[in-house]
Amino acid sequence: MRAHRTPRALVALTLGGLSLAFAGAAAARGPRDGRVAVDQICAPFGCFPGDAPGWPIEITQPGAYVLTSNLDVRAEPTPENVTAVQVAAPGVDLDLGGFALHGPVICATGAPGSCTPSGGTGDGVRGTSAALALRVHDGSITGFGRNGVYAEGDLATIERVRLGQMGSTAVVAIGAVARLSGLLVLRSGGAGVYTGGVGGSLFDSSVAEDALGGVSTGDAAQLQTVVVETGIAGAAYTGLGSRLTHVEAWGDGKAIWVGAGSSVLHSRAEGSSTPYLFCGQQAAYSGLILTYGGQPVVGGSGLSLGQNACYAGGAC
Amino acid sequence: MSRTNRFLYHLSAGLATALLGIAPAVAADGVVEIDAACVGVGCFPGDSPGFPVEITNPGSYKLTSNLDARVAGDVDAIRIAAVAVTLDLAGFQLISSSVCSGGTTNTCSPVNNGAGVRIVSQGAVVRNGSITGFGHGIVSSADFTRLQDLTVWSNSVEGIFAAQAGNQIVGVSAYGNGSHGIEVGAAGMVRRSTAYGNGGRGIFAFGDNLLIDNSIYGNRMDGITGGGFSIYARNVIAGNHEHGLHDTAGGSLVFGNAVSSNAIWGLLFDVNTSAYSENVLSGNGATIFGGGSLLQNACNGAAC
Repeated sequence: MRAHRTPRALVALTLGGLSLAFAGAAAARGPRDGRVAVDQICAPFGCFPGDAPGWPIEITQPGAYVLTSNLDVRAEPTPENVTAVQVAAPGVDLDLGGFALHGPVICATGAPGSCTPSGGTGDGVRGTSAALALRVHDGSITGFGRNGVYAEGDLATIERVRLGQMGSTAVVAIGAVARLSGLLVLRSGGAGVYTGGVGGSLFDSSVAEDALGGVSTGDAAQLQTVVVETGIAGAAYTGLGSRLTHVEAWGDGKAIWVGAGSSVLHSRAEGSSTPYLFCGQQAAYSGLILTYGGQPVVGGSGLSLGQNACYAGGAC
Repeated sequence: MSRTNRFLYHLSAGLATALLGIAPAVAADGVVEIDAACVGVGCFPGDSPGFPVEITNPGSYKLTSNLDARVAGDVDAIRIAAVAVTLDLAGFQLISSSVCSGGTTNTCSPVNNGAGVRIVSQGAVVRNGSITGFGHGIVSSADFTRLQDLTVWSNSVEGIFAAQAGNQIVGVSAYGNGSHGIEVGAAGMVRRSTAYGNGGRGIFAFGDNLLIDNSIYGNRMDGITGGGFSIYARNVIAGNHEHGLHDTAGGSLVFGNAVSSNAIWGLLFDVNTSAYSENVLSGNGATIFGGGSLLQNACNGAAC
């Protein structure tokens, strides 16, 4: 029996250690991996130092943050004007953790631009100009009064996010060299994606049913492996010296409109009005299918580099 | 000691060492954790107290906090000295003291020599975070390194220096570093990356490489300087202060690039054994020198 007797010291040490361990876990919010947890429950009180109680949750320190619940602002008095998360520090990684940010806006199916309530000012995630290298990834954002993501700082990265039914443009990245990929963007009151700064890129994304155009970029942008089909305005509009490759574009208007010196390669464009492709000066195109509807299929001053198929299947 | 007592003894010891910070922090998935708190005492066996955190055993490691090296002076933050290490920055940031002004003069102060991550053993993977204020964001003097989903900015020398063979750089943004944005050696790949506003070249690739789907804008020297038999495809190369693409070695294929508003040549081939097609050039100081056209190129709106 002696061999099975448990020394009191060991029991005490064990229980003490367990208590301390549990106490530590309770005191530190969120996952053990050190990322700062953000959830609906902490929003009214402030989720961490620097975050005032209430919306938006304000991130003012660099580091990694992760959602551990959905964030829903619809219970607020004027939810269309509420921003869920605001970032005002460089080097912030916001992992949506598969969760969703919910705002109140609903856009009617089949009626682009019919979004209510309208005129809101709230964003799902808003990065100020201080938010250099903001990264938002892996979740959903729906129904905010203005933008799903508004990123003002350079080097924004937005990856694997589903966005729908914003009062205005779903994604706005106005800083330089924004990198967007893996986006699903559907049915917003403004455009789908706007990268206003130089050198923005959009890869591997689908943009559909947005009222005021699909994708619009600044200069030296690139779109690759993008499906964009949208209403009222053109599908894809780029700045100077941009590159489009493997783009499937349908616009209720011109499908693709590229700035001077841009290239459009190995893509398909179709629109409800001609020309389907409009090129600024010194732009060029090759390997395109530009078909159906009327003529001319190409407008502006682009140079055909050959291997294009235009209206009724003719080479152009 | 009975089995029960042995179990309790080990449980107690484990708890005590974990609480006192003696043993390495290991997540439930077996990944070894690194944070600011452990740096001062050594994060795991083989790591001396203080910077750099020295990884000397193969395995999987990840940050669980930012590492701010500013108080330590000009140091490396993390040094990888074991083969086959995966280091996940997990969205956190490595920070040191250098600040670069950006713009065409782009001066940095102080000029540091340390690296955010210094890799001296082959097969390392570093991913998923940002590095700012060091001499180099990352220095790899080893082969077969993969650097992915990183942002390196305002480092006083280069953003990425990976000069050995077989390195892959994917989804990296190099911005406003003192010299080159990304430098890569032979048999390397730079893909879906961005080099913007760096004080030297956007990308300096001095071996046989594949550079594809990159955005290279507004760098103080060439957008891309290539020194091997390489493929340069589907890049946007714009607004650089010397040449857009300068291929010095020949034997390269250049296709599908948009090359605009670079100060000197859009495409400059020192050796005529390189060839090019489906490139669109506009607004450069001059269009193309050297190389061989495979047709389907446009130079300022005309075939070339």
